[in-house]
Order: sequence, then structure tokens, then C-alpha cells
Amino acid sequence: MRYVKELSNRNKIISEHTCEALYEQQNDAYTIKFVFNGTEDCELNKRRFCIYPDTFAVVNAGTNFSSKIDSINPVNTFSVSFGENFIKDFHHTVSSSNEGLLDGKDVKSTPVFTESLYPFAGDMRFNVLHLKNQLDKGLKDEMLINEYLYHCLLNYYKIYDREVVQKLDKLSFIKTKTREEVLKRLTLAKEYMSSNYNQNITLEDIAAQACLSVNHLLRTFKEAYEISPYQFLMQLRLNRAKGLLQTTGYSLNEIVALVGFECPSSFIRLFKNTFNITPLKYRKSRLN
Amino acid sequence: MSPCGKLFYVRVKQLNDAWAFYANCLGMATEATMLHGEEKGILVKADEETNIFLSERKHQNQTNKIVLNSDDCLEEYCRLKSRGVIFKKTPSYLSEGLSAEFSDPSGNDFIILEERNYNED
Repeated sequence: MRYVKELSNRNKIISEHTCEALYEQQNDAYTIKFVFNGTEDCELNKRRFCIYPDTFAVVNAGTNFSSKIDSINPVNTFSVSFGENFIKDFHHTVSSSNEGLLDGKDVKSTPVFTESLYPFAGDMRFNVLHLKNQLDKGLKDEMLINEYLYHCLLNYYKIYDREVVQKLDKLSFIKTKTREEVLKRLTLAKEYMSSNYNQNITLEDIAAQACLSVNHLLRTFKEAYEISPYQFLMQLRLNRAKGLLQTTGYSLNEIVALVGFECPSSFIRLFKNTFNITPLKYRKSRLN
Repeated sequence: MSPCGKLFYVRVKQLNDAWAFYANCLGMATEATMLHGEEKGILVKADEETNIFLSERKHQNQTNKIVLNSDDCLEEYCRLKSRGVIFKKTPSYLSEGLSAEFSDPSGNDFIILEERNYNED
């Protein structure tokens, strides 16, 4: 099942529920892509990553983008594209001073987003779920849809500030260009871990993907994110295991293997230490 | 708006103006009533579980700040905006969730609050 909702201001929403899909295109508008269940494999400017339900991807206008879904269970994807004027107006409003806005002197520029995966949580998740539920029920009110989209951008800008701007500030390099380049590479490391969390990946693999030496990766990753790449990977595996416990009927052993752990006992111990509850008790509590 | 089981006593300047605002602008069910058989008032059904008693007289337990819980603040905001309600500012984020504020013609403040549990998985 697929529906496309195009608004008069050229904002567009596409929702799809499918087991198989292949799209290759030059992305013609600023787009935010979500996956509600399953995985969507993407390639963006020759970079490969997967969108899971706990992440969303941002793609700029003009970027070569392809995506593939190949799954036994239907995958529910949701993508929001913004018309050029809508995004320019939004960017102008949030980035200009009050005086500038009143004078009307500021030039409306086109923003360039950092194309990557971002955590899909908090207000962004609440607002996008509301929008999706409303559209699934047949919402036609453009004012309300645009209000959701405005808030979607507002939420994204907050996430961008937290995930990019604040992380740049944490890096200790003096030159801005160096900080930006290192953060870009750390982003590649995170993307790689997020997309391959269920594989047996090593620190050397991650460093190679990020074009950094192992030592450089360890030092800068900790500086920016306050945890090591290994801790990041473990958190990711445990959180995704939580998702599987909640939404699937897979046995514990299956989940252990699906999220990339080798030993069920070490998984249970880590899960209990992190969330103060055993995996099976957690599943039971969510069922209740 | 979701159930929250509350009754608010609210003072208004003029019952007629208040009735027009609550019934026509907010689209709430209103009913003329008497308190203790002598005081004219209006009972407003804000939602399934929230009632507001409007009166021109001053009472001890009256409030001028009413929180209306909502499942979807943006939907409520757009619905009321299209009915002519003027909001103090656009919906904003609080630690409890998303909120939007407006006032009635007598200056009583209304807060639409969509509570969000940010710790939920």
C-alpha cells in the first residue's frame, strides 16, 4: 500500500507499506525519511546505510539517492519532502534576528543539512506519529498538515543543534574546518555501526570506514559523544534488542543473534545492568 | 481532549460574551444553569470529563488558569485557530510536552497541554 500527499505549497508526504521496493533518483527536495518497522537500505552519494525505526535520515535537494526494501515482513516507510519556499521561509525565520525579520532585509538562503542518520525520538517521534496517524485516517486539512511539517522541521533543527553543533563545540581542534571534517568522519563511524550493528564488526573496521586511525577514532569519538565506539555499539544493540522484545515474538536466543551478541548470558547480564530489568521481565512488562 | 475529571470555577465579565466565546469559538457544549438556585451561570462541557462553571460573581475557589489536556495539541491548535481563537503564541515545548495558550474575553488563561512521556521506549 502506498499513498502520496502533495500539498499546494509543494510539501509532499509519501507513505508506503511494502516487502519489496527499489528507488533510484536524484532527490529533488529536502527530505526526511523514517521507517516505522523493518529496515530500508539506502545509498546516498555512494555511502551506504540502513534506516531503522530508531533513526531517520536527512537528504538535501539535488543529492543522488537510492533506496531498497527487500523483506519477508512488510516495511512501513514514511518520507516528508519540503517545498523550496517552505524550507527557505522556515530557515529564514529561525536563523534571522527579530530586527532582520522586521526590516525584511535578510536574504532568504537555502539551508544545507548534514546528510546523515539522526535519532528518531522525543518530540520528532510524537509529531511524526501524529501526522502519520492523521494521514492514515484520511486527513485533508492542509493547514494542519503544514503545522505538523513546520514542527517536524523545528524538531529537526533542535536535533541538528544537539547532534552536530554541540558536538562540534566538544571537539578540541582549533580550526573550525578540522572540527567539521573530524565530525563528518565520526558521523560515518556512527552510520556504519548503526547499519552493521548485528555483524561482528571490529574497531579497525569502524576506523577504516571513518578514514581515521584507530587511536584517532577512539580519542575523537569519546571527545564528541562522551562514550567509546564500543559503548555506543553496545547501547545500540541493547536498544534494538529492546525494540525486538517489544514488537516481535522472537525467542531470546533469536534476538541475541539478531542484534549481534554471541553469548546469551552476557547479553542478559548487560541488559539487566543497563535497564535494571531482565529481557524476559521487560517483554512481560510491555505486554501488560 | 482527553478525560481528566475536573471542574473549574471561572469568573467572567459578562455571561453573554462568555457564552458566545465558549459555544461559538471553542465549540464547547454550554448549558445555562443556576448555582444554589440564585446565581446565574453557564456550565461548559470542555470535554468528556472536564466541566467549567462560569459566573459573573466572585468565589473563593475560582481560577483564572485552566489546563485542558489533549491527545494532539497541534490538531487542537489548528481546530481552534480556524474557529477564530487567537493564541498568545505558536505551540511551544515544555518539559511535560507540547502546549498552546489562549485567553477568553475575560482574560482567563487556557493552556492546551499534550503531555508526553519522553522516557517511554
